Amino acid sequence: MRVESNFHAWLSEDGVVVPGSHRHGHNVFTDFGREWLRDLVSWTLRTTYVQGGAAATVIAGAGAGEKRIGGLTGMTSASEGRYLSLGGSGDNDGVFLISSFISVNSVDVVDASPGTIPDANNSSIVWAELEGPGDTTAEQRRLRWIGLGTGSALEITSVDQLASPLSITTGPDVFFKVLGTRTEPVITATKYVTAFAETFAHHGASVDISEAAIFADVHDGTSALLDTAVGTNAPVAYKTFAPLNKLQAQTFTATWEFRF
Amino acid sequence: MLKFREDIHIESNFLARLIDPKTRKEVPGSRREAHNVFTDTGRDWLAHLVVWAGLNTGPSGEDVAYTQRRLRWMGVGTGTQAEVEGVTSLVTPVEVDESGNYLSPIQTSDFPATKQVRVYKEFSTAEISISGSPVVPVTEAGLFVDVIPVSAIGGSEDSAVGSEDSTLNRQVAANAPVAYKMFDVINKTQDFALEIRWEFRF
Repeated sequence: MRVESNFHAWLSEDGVVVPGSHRHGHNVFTDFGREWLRDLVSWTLRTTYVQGGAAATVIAGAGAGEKRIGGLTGMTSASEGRYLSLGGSGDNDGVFLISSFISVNSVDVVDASPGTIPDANNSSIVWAELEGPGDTTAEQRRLRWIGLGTGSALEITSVDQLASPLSITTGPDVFFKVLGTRTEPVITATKYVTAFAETFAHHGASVDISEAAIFADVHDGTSALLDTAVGTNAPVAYKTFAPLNKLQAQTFTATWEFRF
Repeated sequence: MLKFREDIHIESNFLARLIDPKTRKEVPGSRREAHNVFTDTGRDWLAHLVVWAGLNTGPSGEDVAYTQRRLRWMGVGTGTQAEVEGVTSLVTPVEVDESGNYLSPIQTSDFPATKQVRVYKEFSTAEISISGSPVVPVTEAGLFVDVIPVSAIGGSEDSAVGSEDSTLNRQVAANAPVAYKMFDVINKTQDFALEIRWEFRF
């Protein structure tokens, strides 16, 4: 199977494309990106479903650090040590270790982080008893950031960073921007359009942009894995091109399309 | 018109063979080894797997995925069809166990080398060649993606069907595979296990 990708960048000012600024081309999917994709498609652990239902509820009686879940069916002493997934509410979903069998209709689960059990959805919580803690993967990062640079590296799979990362804003330096609008030209493709309207004034009256890269990452609600203050992170895709001299009033726009 | 270059070529290799459970040796003449087809269903899945549906839009401010489905099941059948991207199901799926399931979980995933992933399943002597069908002429295989439990860890496009809190109902014959392979017949009997390996190189 081929994964095809294409890059297009240009400068514009007041909505008008700057003549001669179009840069079309193909790009390289890096070794880091290939490793990322390899891990992303696979589960490291596949759990076994035992049983489930859709009328679970949180009831009183559990000890500290635990929650008692009722509204279940078919629970047995063998349920202890298995896992109970609670979800379907769109809020505070999770998979929890069953610490105690209480009755055929209820068990206690470990609530290591109080407040994570979806008790706002009582009596209609979707539940499943599982042999393991749910399907588990080593990779949750997905395409998230784009970065620019003023250097140039050979477009080979071993590229592991932008040659000369360019801070987008400063005080503190930020080297990456969230990918812009995503569209699907066809169902088997994904395309990002990201506009850099920032002035880059901290680099002077103008700056030569000559490389771009895409980065995968995940934000867990507290922080992302990738430090946007560090310019040397490894990209999953990289492109270098003839320099575009961006003036402060101009916008640099990049599109990146992946076809599977 | 822009011409797109091949930037990443995902090679996939398929291997199926009968194993003698007593000696753990391959049954002579049973090896089927070749490339296979990654279906449109698989390409659509990949295009959604690699991107976020929402950034910091989850209940706790976390990123939200379109799909959490990953390589999870294998199924086999006795039919044949052209190995084209438009394959949407096995032609003649067969039940793989006595519970009426058409899909069986992948046993292991490993990484034989950098940029490679291999999924493995050994259908036991009692699988596929179940009671009532002691000899099954297997000629096709499919690889399927899924997640359990959908209700707790699925993506925004993942919805549960059937009774296992998964996106595929294993008791339905016509699930759509992400990869498909047709091959010369292997007669699966209760004397032998059927081993299937699927390897992808990125």
